[in-house]
Amino acid sequence: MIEKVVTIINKAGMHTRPASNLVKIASKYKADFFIIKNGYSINGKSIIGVMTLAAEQGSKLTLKFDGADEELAAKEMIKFFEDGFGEL
Amino acid sequence: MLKPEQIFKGIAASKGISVGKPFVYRAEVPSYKVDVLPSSVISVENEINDYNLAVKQSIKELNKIFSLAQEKLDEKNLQIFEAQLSFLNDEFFHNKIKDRISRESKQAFVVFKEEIQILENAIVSSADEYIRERVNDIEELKNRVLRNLLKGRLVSKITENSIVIAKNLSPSDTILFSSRNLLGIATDLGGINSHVALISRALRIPAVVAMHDISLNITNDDFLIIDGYKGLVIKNPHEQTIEYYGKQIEKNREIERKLEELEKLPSETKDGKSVKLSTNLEFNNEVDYVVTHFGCDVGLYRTEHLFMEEGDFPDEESQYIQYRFLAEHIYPKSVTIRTFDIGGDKILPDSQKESNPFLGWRGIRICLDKKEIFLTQLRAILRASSGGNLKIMLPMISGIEEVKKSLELIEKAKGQLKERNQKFDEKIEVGVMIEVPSAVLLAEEIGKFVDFFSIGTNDLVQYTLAVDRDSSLVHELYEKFHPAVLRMIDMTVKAAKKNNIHVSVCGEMASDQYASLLLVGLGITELSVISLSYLQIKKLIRLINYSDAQKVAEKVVKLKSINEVKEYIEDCFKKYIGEKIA
Repeated sequence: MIEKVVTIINKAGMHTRPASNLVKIASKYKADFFIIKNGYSINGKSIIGVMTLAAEQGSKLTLKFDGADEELAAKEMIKFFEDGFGEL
Repeated sequence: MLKPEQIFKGIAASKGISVGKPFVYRAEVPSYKVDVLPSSVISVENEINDYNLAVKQSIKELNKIFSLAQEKLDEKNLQIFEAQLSFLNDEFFHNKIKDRISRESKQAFVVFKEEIQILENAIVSSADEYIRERVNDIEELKNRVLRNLLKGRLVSKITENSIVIAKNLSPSDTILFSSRNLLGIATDLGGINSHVALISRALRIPAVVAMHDISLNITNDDFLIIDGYKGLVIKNPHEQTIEYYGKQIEKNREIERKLEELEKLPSETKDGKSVKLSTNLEFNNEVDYVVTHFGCDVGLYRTEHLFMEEGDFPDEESQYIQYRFLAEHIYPKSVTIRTFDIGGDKILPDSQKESNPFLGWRGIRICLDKKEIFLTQLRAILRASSGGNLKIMLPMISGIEEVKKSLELIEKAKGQLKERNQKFDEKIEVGVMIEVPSAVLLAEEIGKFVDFFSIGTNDLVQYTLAVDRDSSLVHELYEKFHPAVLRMIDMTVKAAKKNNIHVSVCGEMASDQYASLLLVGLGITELSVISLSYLQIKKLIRLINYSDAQKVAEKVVKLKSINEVKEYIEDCFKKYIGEKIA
């Protein structure tokens, strides 16, 4: 299992489009993917779950990957966060 | 204690009087008044099944909009759309809901609403305004799923023989209702030519529109009289009122009976000039009535409802079956099929709605953009035409290019059928609707390419006078007796004569007793009227002399103001017809 804390850096935060792309990325991998915010955990392969986080710029999230391809999944996902969802 | 009688006034949209219980329909409020049932009577299996179907239908709707509107949407809207679709494809969310339904024995719509509420609360609590605004996307999605979840339920709840009361009815609502036996329809909004009005007249049920807030003042426990002549709805009528209306209904039956005597008589003027009278038709359940009572041509068969009912453009086979059904039932008479005349407002998502749909992406414009949809429809019509009694009519034509492109596509469709070795009527007639002023001005040129004109007066009035016929603020300016409109019709007839082709009128104007006198005089060769007015118009035609009508028409096109026209026509009516045939 891999755990990593990330920060949302793009201005608009986790709105519909990044949420949708995030789910697309997560769904490519077999590994389970959970996002934890303020102790609240959601399934990262569910767009509605991700939207429920309502994470704005500056929010700190814990990403949890668990499964055979967790390293690849974590690598791509963390890069997605670091790139500000491609909205910088 | 007796409930007090209350009278509500609106605009009379479809003739007739009915007495009965109301069914108050609140489609536009997402908080449907559906009873929350105790868990003991809930079938978990049915609820889950309903939920799956509603999601499936919502996905289908969104895909349809998506496939049609893709090129018309900007980047931002496209994403909102994709996001909505991905919400609907979120299996985790669906599983959570289905899991809760079975664990808590709750109805699907209750659980769905609760879960969406949780999502909305979370989003609203965000400090970021942009994220908070995303609630609107979710709201649109919620309403779509809820509507699909509750649609079947709502319609099955409509008691037969009730008077439907609603704020407004969308075309798809009215289509749902058309399959039930209704006594009448009254709505807060709408105008005399709105969809509700058109459908009520087609179904021969009384309707009153523009009643402002009747939907808030009637409950299902009331008792009503709807008067589609005077535009009234009477709530909890006194005994004397009921008695009065009882007599009125008797009287009307008598009038109907007398009119029926006209069924077998020819449609010709007193001086022997035959005027072709045909009918507009929209629903299959009108077919029998038309065949047995009138035995006439169908001058306008609208195909939009095929699209509305299916929630998608129907495929070639199902369209073929429908057109074949008409062709066979109406045979040996003919059916003029108008190709899809859908407004962009019916298929574009809310966020992409044009501010001016009547001047936007609609009718032939959509068909020429979406050639596959158009070709599919054309092939279906052509295949059904092998008996030789179908005609094709193109809506919303505004110039020569559209005519040429359409004709090319018709030829292409024919070619495709030849390749498949399928039969069709090689000489099928193709005509155009004349309803845009530019088409009137170019009618002489357009006439060289087509076999007939059909004047769509509703749109012609609206486009000539720049008046939205559904706007309650300006609908008084919507005036078919405007001299400009009459001159437009005159020009069209003359252009048709020069090209030696037929010209009919298929709009509401043909069904107006004053106007029909004029139209005959102007040289219109065919009137296609709603079935409700068919016999009355025939009666009128049989009362006039063609030579008189010609004189009237000749004078009328020279008049300059609406009032002059109206006064003159009323005078002539008195002079030549003498009695008002209401």
